[in-house]
Amino acid sequence: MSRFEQDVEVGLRQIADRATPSPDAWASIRQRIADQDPIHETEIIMLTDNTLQTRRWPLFAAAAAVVALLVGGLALINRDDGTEVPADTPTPTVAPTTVAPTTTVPETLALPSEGSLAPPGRYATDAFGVPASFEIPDVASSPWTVAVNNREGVVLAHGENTFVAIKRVGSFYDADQAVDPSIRGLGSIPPDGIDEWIAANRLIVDESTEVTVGGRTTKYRQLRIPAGVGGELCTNGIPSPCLNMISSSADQQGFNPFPTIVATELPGSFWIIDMDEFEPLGIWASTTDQDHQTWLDELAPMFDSIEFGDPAPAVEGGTARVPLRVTGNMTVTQTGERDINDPWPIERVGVIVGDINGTFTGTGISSPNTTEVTLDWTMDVTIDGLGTGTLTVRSDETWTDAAGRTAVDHVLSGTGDLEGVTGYGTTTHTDDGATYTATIELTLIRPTD
Amino acid sequence: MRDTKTVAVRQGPAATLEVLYRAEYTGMVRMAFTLIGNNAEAEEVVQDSFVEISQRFDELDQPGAYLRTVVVSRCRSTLRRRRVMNMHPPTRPPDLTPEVELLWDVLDQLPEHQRIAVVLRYYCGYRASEIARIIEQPAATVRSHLRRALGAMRKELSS
Repeated sequence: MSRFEQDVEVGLRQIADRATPSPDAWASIRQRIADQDPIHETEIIMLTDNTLQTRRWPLFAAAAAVVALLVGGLALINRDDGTEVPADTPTPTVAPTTVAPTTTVPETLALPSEGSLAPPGRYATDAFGVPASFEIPDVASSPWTVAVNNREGVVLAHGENTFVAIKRVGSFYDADQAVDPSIRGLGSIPPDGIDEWIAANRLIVDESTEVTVGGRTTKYRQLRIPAGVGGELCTNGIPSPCLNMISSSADQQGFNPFPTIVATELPGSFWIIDMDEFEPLGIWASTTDQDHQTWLDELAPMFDSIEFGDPAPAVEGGTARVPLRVTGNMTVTQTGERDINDPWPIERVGVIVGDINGTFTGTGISSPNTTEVTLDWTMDVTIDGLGTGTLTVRSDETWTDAAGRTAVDHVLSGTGDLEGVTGYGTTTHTDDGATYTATIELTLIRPTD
Repeated sequence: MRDTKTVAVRQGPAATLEVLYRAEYTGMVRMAFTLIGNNAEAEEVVQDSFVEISQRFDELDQPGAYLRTVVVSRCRSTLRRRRVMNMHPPTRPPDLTPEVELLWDVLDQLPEHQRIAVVLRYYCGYRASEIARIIEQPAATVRSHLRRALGAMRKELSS
């Protein structure tokens, strides 16, 4: 043991010695034990009296059913009561008894491949990066289909447009893993960084309540993109601004390959599950076929049944390609005349904040006298090199002008503490002798892992 | 006849539970206090744990070990609940030396798993394999928690 470890040991002992255990705690404990549910007495008797065993099974079955119903209802119905089922309650070491308890272990099936029907039952998967199992409940209206079952996560569809997606949030920042390389998704979110991620993406949380899923404390969130914030346009055909949370996996075959999104016009409920030191899981439940709350109620047994194993140990070292989300104002100063042939790719611009002294039509600017335009602009860039104090970023975007002029790469570079949150970059765009310069504020969501 | 049996069964474990209480209560409260940094919550956690194990006390081979696991598990839940709800912050005792005050603050900044691993290793003296059984994680993961925690603590305490 090193000197430092010895110092820690001594310090911890001094801290522990400051605890002041109550001298009459035993009386309190005894009283609480005495006040316990009388069902407990019945259980103790059963261990010593075989003659009563048969009569009590219906009682236990009924009690178990009541407990299951209560637990099932709590997760969704009592979302705001703040209670929590204790996580990770250990299994006791049980001594042999004269009456062995009978435990029914439900059969766990491997989740079928994409496109297959999934009858009600208990299924296991490792698609989330951690071993997991859950029940697919029996719903009367139509059977469940496994729409997605790959390294991205699991999507279970029920009917035409009713589904629940359980996904690793931020898995696909490498373009070659995604079905659409242009969608970079979130990147990784640190375990405690969900709130910061929400804030960084300027999402509005309409509802946030604590629930327990899979024995882990999590939050149910209703997320929404505020009006006036751009981001991408939805890539699934919904004509509204979106935040693409994660692109679909390149090996996805059985479902419309659009990314998990937060959109302004799509009803959806999100759970973000804290997975300790592993990246969080996101659950997205949405329907356009039936009442949303009815759908959530049908899903309640599934959520209640989720169990997680231990995540694999973190892999240390290596070089990571980490996406950055760039947000902030970009001021573009342009000299000369500006017309429909202006090279700015307007379709990539979310919201025009400033007065452009003209109007946008289609993909071009129609404004002969505009000299300055302020854009609220969002794009993804990739860290090109990681240093201890310098952050150099490179965008893989290529400017393409609406009239087919020469495409021009642009480079963002800036400095900033890798643990910090802000840097600044510039982009220079040269075209036909005119030079445009922009200053972009970079917001670093996650530097590295 | 049934009532008599009930009393007999319940008195037996209770008497043994009291022995366990005499032997373990103070130590468990101190461990819980080091884990969650709040005396009232530490006592509540340990008392809840005693009540919980009383329900299955006569089935346990090693009630002391099981008690410790339950206490750690409940401390984890407390830390998580605190993180989510921002309630019941740790209360630093007033009479610590400056060095220990700093250790307290650094401990409070550690992620939940790292803090638990550090306390179980350096206060309770458990090996990584024993900690792994208590917190139900692979030993390699526990060693990773310890390595990261010590790195962070060394950095903070030396600055």
